[in-house]
Amino acid sequence: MIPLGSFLHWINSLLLWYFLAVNACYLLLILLSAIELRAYLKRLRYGSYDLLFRDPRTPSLSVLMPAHNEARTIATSVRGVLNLNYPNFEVIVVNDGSSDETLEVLKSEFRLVEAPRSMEAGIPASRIRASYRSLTVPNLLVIDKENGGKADALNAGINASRTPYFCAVDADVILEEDALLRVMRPVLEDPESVVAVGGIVRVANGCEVAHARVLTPRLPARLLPLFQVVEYLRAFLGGRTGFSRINGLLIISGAFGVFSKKWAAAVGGYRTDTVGEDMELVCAMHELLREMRVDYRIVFIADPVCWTEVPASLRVLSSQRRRWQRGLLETLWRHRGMLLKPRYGILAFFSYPFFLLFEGLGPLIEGLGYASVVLSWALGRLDAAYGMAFLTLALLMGMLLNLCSLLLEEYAFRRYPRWLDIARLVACGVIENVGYHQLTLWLRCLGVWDFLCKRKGWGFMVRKGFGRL
Amino acid sequence: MALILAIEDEENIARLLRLRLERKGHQVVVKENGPEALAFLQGPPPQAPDLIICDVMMPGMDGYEVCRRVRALGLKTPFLFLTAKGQSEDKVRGMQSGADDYLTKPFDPHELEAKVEAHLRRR
Amino acid sequence: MGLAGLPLILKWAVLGVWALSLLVGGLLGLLALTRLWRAVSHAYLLRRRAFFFPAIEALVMEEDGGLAERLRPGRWGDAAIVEEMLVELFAMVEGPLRERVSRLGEEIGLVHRHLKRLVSPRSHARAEAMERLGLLRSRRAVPSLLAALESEAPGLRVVAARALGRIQDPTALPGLLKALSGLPGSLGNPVAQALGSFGEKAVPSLLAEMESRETLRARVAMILGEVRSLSALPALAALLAQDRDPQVRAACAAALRQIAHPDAVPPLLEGLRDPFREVRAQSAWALGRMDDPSACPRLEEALLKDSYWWVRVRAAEALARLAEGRALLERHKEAPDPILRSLAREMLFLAGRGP
Repeated sequence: MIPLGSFLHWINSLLLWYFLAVNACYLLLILLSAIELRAYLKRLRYGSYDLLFRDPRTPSLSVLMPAHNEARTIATSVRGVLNLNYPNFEVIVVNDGSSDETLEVLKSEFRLVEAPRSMEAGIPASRIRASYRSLTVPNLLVIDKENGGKADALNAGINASRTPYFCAVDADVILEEDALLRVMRPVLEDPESVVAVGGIVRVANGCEVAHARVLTPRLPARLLPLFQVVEYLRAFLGGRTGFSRINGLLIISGAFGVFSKKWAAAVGGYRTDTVGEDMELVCAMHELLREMRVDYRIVFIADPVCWTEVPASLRVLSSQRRRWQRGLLETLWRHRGMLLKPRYGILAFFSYPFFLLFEGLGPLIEGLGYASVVLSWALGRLDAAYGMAFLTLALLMGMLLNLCSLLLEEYAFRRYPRWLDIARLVACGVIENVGYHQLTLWLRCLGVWDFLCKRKGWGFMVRKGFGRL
Repeated sequence: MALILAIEDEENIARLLRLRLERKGHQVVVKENGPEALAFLQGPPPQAPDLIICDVMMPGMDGYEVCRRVRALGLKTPFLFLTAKGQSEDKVRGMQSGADDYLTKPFDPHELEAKVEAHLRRR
Repeated sequence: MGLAGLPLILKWAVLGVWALSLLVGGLLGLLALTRLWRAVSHAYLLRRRAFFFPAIEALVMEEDGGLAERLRPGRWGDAAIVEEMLVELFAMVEGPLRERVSRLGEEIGLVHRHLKRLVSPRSHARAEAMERLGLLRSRRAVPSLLAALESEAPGLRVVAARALGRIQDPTALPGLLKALSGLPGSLGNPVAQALGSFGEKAVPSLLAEMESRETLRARVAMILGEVRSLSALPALAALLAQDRDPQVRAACAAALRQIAHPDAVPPLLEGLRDPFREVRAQSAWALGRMDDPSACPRLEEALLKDSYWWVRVRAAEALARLAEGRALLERHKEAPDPILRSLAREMLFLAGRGP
């Protein structure tokens, strides 16, 4: 009767409860998401975008596009953003010290001339070399600055903007025509309380794209991006929508999000010393607003609005997921004061613990679970019931969550009308947990390791841009 | 009996334009975007419509860009903008790009016909 | 909780998950069926649209000849299809054709359908009915919408206001004005937009409202500005000078900017000296639209001395629009104050680039 046996048994049971808790929370989120989507779809039936468009009270906004070595695609992207349907907005492209011809491309495409831009004293940012305006497009402003990273570029953009709201986008983002109208709709309906809005990000791989617009949504042919389609649907439709419903949203994607300039500047803009700057900004805003006891909302929009390319190679995916995990942990650590403090309400008692236990430390615990099962089995101490339970929870629950997310997608949006496509997504949802999930698990564990080793920097990226979720 | 080129990506509006203007006896060619329209104009063989109606809001090349390029081709064809926005700044911008007139959507079909006739007469 | 108790719970958990999976499997099957159904009904929809299409074309061509009969919904589902086609027309056309389409909508019974749903117990259904009635520009619906404007919850009152704004029946004005005060905060914005869409017709009522109510003058001022009503200018100028509420004064300055008439210059010049910074900023912005050289000295003063950055930006913008102002700005291109210097250069550049 070696203590190791009962010790393992004890660990296994604990882990089982953990898995139950994780999956129960995910299911709860999906349920909340379903409720929110239903209400949202009903509201859409009597909402009118044409009136929103013509409303003189529609606030102006600046679209901030930080760009680093995007010479190949920048012209199309900027044109795509300029042609968005919104009554009053400006586009600020921040060239973050690109070493390629990004600036030259912009200069020739838009006939830029150097023009001074007076800026209100704002967030500290790297030195600006020059600012440019276009002779042909009045609402375009291009800022050329020394390299300082995405957060720094965004801060420079915030300083240069003169609108009450800004929309931070990636340089290679593909937006739908009504994206700005849809994402600003919560702001228009409730300008006093809505301070930030996030939108769904969808996978552009495999889609038919022209002029920075998705003509036909299709699925990627390769397996890696295909799994990510399911993953993103689960994360956005099944996750963030739910969080938004209970006003416990801790993250807005850096690929596409709208923020109140006043409050973003009040927290000092984006932090340049973390790779999770998008989540960090939202957490900082939560902290400040709660501290000041302001009545506010941070909202997530379920309407499909933004498409982005996801990593198709293992190397880029690895770098991305490690970076995300590191960013998540950095932000959670920085804002650890939120945990269980009554002032933060639902954030303290649900959102933060959720992200800490299930997303941040989750990979380690889950990894421990796998290791423990394998070890128990090797030692011949594996309880059959336990083994089956573990298998069930590891595989079946994952399947269930994926299929529920796909159901939500089918119910609300049906962006993939072809039968073959939805079948492929279902198949991926089913087999994700025998391979892909374990892959991302491993990558996220590496990310935790990176965090503990205090690693810095953005790692390897094929496009050499800022593209990220 | 004039040749009118309409550059419009929205099917419904294109159809509306075609119906009303063909009723007046004109020949209407519809292109869905700027590049296609420019290709049509340049040919071969190069086309010379008597009037161009162009939507401002189109993906890819917007109406102002199309107008500038048409003028750069040396064509002095009367150019009418269809703009969804009602702000004065956009009208000014349209004129600056080289357009002759504009119509805001939604428009009165009679007003459309009247403007078309006026510009055709002026040629 | 002893360890011995766990396996039973695990078995229940496993059972539960399998049951759920079966449920999901069943739902997926249902999903496949609904997809099939949608594909079939979509094909049917296209065929019916094609059927009604010639009548719609005839309507666009403003032909006579039994359009009501040709568009009358025959089979199940036709009403929604025809309605959608008519609403598409409304989005594209104005003028007498629009009137025709609206009357047609009433003749063929579309309006009646929605009027019935206005008494549905489900709020979403009522909201949708109100929205559709607005989209159909139905005058018959105005009394019911006015009633809804008073009795419904705030969220639905907004929908009713929007619908009334589309329909543009002047009898709705008093009801809308009353709703303007009844809706707190930003919920009043759609009402304001609806009122603004009436244009000059709304001005007498708005001016009267301005005098009688205490709390809403800022909102009413905003609407008067959107309407660009010249007849409101004296009232707005007076309020800009005298009103005790700085929000009202700022709103009046903004309204004067949109009206853009030179008579507004004197009160705006006074507004440049207002103790409240938002009023000064709006006044400077408004003066930028007046193109009156006599304002230049005061604008330069604001640019040089004001403590609020936005006042300086707007003053610089305003100066850059006038030759006299640009001459003044030239003098500051090398000023020691960095903000003054950058503003002068920026506005001069933008002016030189072209309007």
